[in-house]
Amino acid sequence: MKSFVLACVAAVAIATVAGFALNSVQKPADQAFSTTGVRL
Amino acid sequence: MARMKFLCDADRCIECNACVTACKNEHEVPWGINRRRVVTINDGKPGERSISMACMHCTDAPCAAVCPVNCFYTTADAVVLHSKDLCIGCGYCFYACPFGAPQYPKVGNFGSRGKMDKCTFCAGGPEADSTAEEYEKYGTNRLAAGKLPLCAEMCSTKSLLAGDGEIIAQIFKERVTKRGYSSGAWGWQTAYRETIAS
Amino acid sequence: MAGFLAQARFIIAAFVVALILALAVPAGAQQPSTVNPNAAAVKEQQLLNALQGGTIGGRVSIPDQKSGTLIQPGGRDWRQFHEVTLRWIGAIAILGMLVLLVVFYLVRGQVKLESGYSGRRIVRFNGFERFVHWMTATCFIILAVSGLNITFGKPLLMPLIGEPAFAGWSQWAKYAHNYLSFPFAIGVFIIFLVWIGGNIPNKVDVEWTKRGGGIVGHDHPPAYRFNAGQKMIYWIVVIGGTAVAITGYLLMFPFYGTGIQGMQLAQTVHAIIAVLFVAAMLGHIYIGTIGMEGAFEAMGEGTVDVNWAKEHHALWLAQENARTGPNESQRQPMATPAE
Repeated sequence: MKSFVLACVAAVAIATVAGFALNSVQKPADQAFSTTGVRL
Repeated sequence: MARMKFLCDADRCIECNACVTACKNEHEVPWGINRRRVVTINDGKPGERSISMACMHCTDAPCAAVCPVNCFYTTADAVVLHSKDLCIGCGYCFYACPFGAPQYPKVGNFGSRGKMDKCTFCAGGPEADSTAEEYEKYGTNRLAAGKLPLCAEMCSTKSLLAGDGEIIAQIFKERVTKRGYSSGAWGWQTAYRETIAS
Repeated sequence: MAGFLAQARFIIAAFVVALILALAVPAGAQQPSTVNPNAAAVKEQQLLNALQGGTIGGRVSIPDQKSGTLIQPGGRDWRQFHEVTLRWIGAIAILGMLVLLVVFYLVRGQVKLESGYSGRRIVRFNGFERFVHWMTATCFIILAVSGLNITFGKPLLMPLIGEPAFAGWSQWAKYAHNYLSFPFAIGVFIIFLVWIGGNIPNKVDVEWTKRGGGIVGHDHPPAYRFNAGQKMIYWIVVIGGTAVAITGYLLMFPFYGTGIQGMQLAQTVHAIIAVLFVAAMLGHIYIGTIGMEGAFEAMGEGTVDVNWAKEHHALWLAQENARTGPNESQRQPMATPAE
């Protein structure tokens, strides 16, 4: 039982870390496609 | 009842991008979202043609077919619209669309690509016509005011036609007859399963 | 004086030649032009015929170069796959497996522990192994449900709960699917490392399979720690899991490394492997729970009865006994060794 609970906690923890990491990296379209000629 | 269609006469388009600018301005389309775009084929070579492309509002729209949450609907005028409230940003409509019409606010697909945005034929969305909520999400609703899409209205050479399919097909056919040549009605084969004057 | 005249004659001669040339050439060019401005332009149908699945594109001034694609007819084939073909494959695989399991249970019944419980236990899976298994398994369940929702939710669930509720549920399902892919992928990788030693196929597996594996008939063919059926599940998980992870990450980073056809292919592969994976795991879940007496404890708390080990994994039991001496302890439900 302990291993199962730990497993669920670990899954959520890894998912959360991945969430924060990726959300900071993935840019919105207006930033990703901006050029020097564009002022946002 | 009118069956709304777009027709871009590739032999008249001069790539001025007035249609793109008109659309962007009228609906305050954010940077990075390209509801309408002008593509130039054979650039610089003989037979160069430019075509203004946006959602074609297809018969049997593939975007609507693949949407996992069924957020698309077709109006009585055969305009294909969608609900940003239901959209989960999965990106499938872009894989299915032959014309690359769906646009997304986010580049990655972690969680969601954001709410899909596309050409609405200036017909707004599921919100009540011509309200602030509708404008915020989908842009101006010109059709509700009895007007045609602004891109076609602003076209400098009248290459981009928008309106009832029968009427614009007729206009195009008359043009082709008068000038004696045609590249055909781009996209009509794929979108409406018909060809005219090619 | 002579040099000047020679120069002048040269210049006049050159000028005359130039004049003649200038007059001669336009004479041909000024004939009525039969240039057809449309000659080099191609029509939509010609291009589509030549394409056979590719894309037509041109130049755009927009930074997003994807907008340079004018038409990608392949979208129509992908739509057909996703709306029709995939649903058939998924339905047949998953429903077929369920039917198979029900029939199997009714005909064969549970695989019983024929010699009964001895009361003596032996450690089968340690705490770390159980942790990794359950992390991967729980993620798999949620990934499977959220994934199947994309394909089957619209025809099966949406009519029951309505569009807004279904869209809300699907939104959260997609978040779960994307977030939990990470612990799942990590779990699959660790499973690959931790159990590869015991999952290399060998002659014992051939014999085991030939003798019905203990489920076809009532034989007790010997096996090491993992029998042929379990090895099959192992490789399905490792290979299938890796495949869905790779295609899944391609889908999660759209167009980072592939074009539109690549994305369609990634979704196709991801979906087909996923539904087959689900079908296979239904079999695994069956045999590990109701299908076999004394099996669940192995992963549930880590130990199995010695008689169970004798009947189903005799060679493994012999190895364990030789390694550590008869590894017996009274069955203690709360104490789990090597936690």
